[in-house]
Amino acid sequence: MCFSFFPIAASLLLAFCRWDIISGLKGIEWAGIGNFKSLIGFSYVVSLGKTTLAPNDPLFWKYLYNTVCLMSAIPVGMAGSLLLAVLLNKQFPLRNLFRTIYFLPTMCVPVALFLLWRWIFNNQYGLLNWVLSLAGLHGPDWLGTVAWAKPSIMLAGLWMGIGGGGMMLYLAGLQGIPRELYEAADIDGAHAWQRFWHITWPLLSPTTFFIFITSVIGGFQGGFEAAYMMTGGGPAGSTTTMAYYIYQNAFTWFQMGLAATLSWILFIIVMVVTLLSWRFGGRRVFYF
Amino acid sequence: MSHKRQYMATLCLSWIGLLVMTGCEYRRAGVDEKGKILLRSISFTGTPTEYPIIMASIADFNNAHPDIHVEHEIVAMEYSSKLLTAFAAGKAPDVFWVPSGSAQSYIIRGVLLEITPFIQADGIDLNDFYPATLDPYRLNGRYYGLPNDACSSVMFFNKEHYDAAGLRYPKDDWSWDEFVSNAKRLTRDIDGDGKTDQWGFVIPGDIWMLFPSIYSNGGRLFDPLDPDLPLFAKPEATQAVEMLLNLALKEKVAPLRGQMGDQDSKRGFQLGRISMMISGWWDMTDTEEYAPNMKYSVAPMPRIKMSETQIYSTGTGIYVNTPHPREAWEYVKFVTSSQQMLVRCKGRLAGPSRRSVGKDPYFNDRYKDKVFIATMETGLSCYGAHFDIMQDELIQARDRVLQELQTTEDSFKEGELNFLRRIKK
Amino acid sequence: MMTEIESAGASKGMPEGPERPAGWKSTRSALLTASAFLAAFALAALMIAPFFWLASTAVKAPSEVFRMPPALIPSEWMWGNFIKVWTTFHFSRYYLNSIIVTVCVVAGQVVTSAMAAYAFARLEFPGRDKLFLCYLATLMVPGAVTMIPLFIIMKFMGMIWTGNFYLFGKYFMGAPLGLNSYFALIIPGCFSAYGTFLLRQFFMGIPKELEESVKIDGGGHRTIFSRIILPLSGPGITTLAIFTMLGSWRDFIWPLIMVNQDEMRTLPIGLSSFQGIYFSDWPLLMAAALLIMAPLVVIFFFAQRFFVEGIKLQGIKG
Repeated sequence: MCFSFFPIAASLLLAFCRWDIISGLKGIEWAGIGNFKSLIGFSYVVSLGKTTLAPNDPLFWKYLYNTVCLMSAIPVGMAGSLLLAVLLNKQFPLRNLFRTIYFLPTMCVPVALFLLWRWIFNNQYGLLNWVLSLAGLHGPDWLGTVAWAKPSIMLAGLWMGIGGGGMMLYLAGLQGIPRELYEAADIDGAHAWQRFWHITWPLLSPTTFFIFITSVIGGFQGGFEAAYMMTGGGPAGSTTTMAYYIYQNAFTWFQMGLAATLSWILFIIVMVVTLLSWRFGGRRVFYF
Repeated sequence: MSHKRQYMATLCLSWIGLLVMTGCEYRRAGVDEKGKILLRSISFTGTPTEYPIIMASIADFNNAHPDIHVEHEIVAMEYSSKLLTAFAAGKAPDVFWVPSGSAQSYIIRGVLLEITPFIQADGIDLNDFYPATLDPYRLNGRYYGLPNDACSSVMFFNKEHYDAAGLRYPKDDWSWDEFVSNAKRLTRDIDGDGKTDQWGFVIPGDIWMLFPSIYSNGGRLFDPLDPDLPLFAKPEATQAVEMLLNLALKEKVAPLRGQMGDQDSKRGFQLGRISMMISGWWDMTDTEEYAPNMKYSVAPMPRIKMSETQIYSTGTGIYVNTPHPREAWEYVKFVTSSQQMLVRCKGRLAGPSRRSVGKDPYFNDRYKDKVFIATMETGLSCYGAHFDIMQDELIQARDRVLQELQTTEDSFKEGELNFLRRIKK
Repeated sequence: MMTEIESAGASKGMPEGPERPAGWKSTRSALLTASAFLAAFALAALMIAPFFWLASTAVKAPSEVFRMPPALIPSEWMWGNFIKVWTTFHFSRYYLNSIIVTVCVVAGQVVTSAMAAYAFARLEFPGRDKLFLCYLATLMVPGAVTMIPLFIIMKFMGMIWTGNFYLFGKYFMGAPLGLNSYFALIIPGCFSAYGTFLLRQFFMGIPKELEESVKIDGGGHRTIFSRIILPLSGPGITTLAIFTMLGSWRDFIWPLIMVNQDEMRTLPIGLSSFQGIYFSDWPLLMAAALLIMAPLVVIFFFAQRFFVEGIKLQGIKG
């Protein structure tokens, strides 16, 4: 416990400090709520003779928006994982092999995968546009344009995640559903959809709830590796997420205090969202 | 049944545990050092091939100094995270590599030991170093590190494309206009489908490759006297950037690429889709590796107003809290010596930062290397106290222009404002 | 709750269901199997295509990697790449370290998570759910800012007990605590709110009725935990074990920061050596990625049995 609570407490303290890391512990200075002000505060700016209320750090809001945008892939990924799990729960030949194949991206080292996807997405010589050109299509500059960069990252993320943890959890959850229930439903002559909606879905709700909560928590802290390995956060900052912003503040720009503040602002956001889903989602979760 | 199994498992585990415990021998720290002074050093790598060369040079040092033992670690990724964490805990390696861009940040925050007294005592001839390579490691006339290698930016060009277009290869003093007209001639639609298949040029993904044009137009990134005062939004700088970016936006002689390091644009060059690109020494090594049959050469940067390029170097510095400064200096002296520098140059990693090495006969029949070395005399180093923040703002500013969201002037003005806001205490 | 589901099914029951001819049912199930197989196959093809390229890169010469159009089958098979990966760095030692660390982290995390999860799922105490949320909150602080404080703790621990272990007097086994120790690589990974949450969800899905008989026999929580909960949550525990294994096996930044001796490095650090700032050795990098992945694939392929055909809950209707 000492290994998780002490660092967290330390980071909370740092959120009220300025620290460039390089000068060591003696370089920590108290900053009060100055960090919070400079990140989420607003102030009046006079430009061209007009006084306007502008955010102190426009980048913060932009990157928060990017993060939330990229999180919109979560429900899609969950639905895909559920579908795969239901599919793979059926009896058919080579089922184990298929499960392993879907799980491959989760087992591979992320560095290699993101390098791979960067090459796939390259607009001039990448594999994806090459495949599209065989079909006579002209692919866009996937990672190079503001419009396409986010969808591209989501696509790579879906590829990596759809057969991963979510599918595994759903598979394990499906195993917990007693077969007798399906047999009873069969006797009643229920459709496949009815069986899914009245048996599978409610009985999987603890799993769904778990995947949703952890994906939301992970999603707010996500997008780091994609930005780090594939885009450098660009173009024009359109793929920089909160996680990457925190990392850059801490280790590239020597502003550990700001990084800690950002982390705690993010913490509050995640906490609120989690509590809300706990409150409203928790009720719908069905336990025996 | 289950009880029996549990029992067996416990037995097995404790047996293995016992074996490991008895087999383990505990030795107090320092017993094995045989009285040698232990120095820890750490470096990053530009390319994976550097690995054995660096390790061999460490072994050479250890053999030559019987009383010192250097334990070297190479960190390929996340070098700065690792180094910063060590600084935070006050437990950094005794010697470490410093990239020229970050050197001033380290010096100002007092983690680098001043080595001027050592330099004077040992009579190191600083005039042997190209002046620009020393700048990043100096503050107020005091030295905090020495460059162990250096590299400038030059123009790579595809010889076959030049021959096919009937163009003369660029000369040492070629002008910007000549460069643009060449790029236009080299941009071709080979299969006649209305789409360009061969581009004359590529907008560098690496922000560093924008700096040569800025310098060449008389611009600067920072005020040389006040490292906090940015000059990158001044007209000399933005004009140069505009000229460069317009090659993609207006002249259409370069593909529009707003992102990524030059890792990807060089593949286009190697595949013969791009005729010219701005890059550094390492792409000669890369091309030898990934496109060994390619016919290409390099030329100095085309001049806008003056012949300038940017110089990047890697220095070696000593941690301020090291218990063994004297030994650490021995190591720095060794790494930055002419002899070791030549070894690394022969390993094709980077160019020399010493004139005496640049004049070595080894380079005589290597035309491309000589072009690089010739530019070292005139180039400028890029460094500043908040260099990394500036780099971020420049990348964003460039992207805004390439995405046609803003004009170059406005975008760089905004970048300057953001920069000043971010560095203010 | 069962009755609700059954009645829902019953009210919508279709009369012709049971009267279907016997042959129809088997044809239908054969069709279903075939279509499921085809769908799975199509998806698998999509999933594996990039891997195909990854694997072919691993056996190519560098000059062939970026050829256009892409050479999917290398013209010359460079099997030597794997040997090169293995011999350039001490990959066998990295393997050993990764195995030691992963095994210990998996064991540690499964044990601590199972016990904590049982407390949160079955024990009744005031503020239980609030405490659980606090526990969960540890997941919400990004690692980038907790890494340095954790490193500093480890550094101080290393000062308490300095020195090194050597197995059989010969093989370097790291320091007892602090930097360059297995302790530092293993212990922070042993506690996980994620694992606790995962197992809590599984435990909560186990019918409480099953525990009644134990309670009637006078058994306490310890008996319920070991006789009912643990045997019934095989899939959950296997899933957690596999997730933990993946996380620990692929973890890069923490081992990198904690280790500065070659003998203590783990596999992902070895892999990162094929990357440079200016260029990466793609074939060796991909070959190393495959070498690192291989044991996971084998384990996963065979471990499926445990969570997929793990247990079938019996007698719930009772």
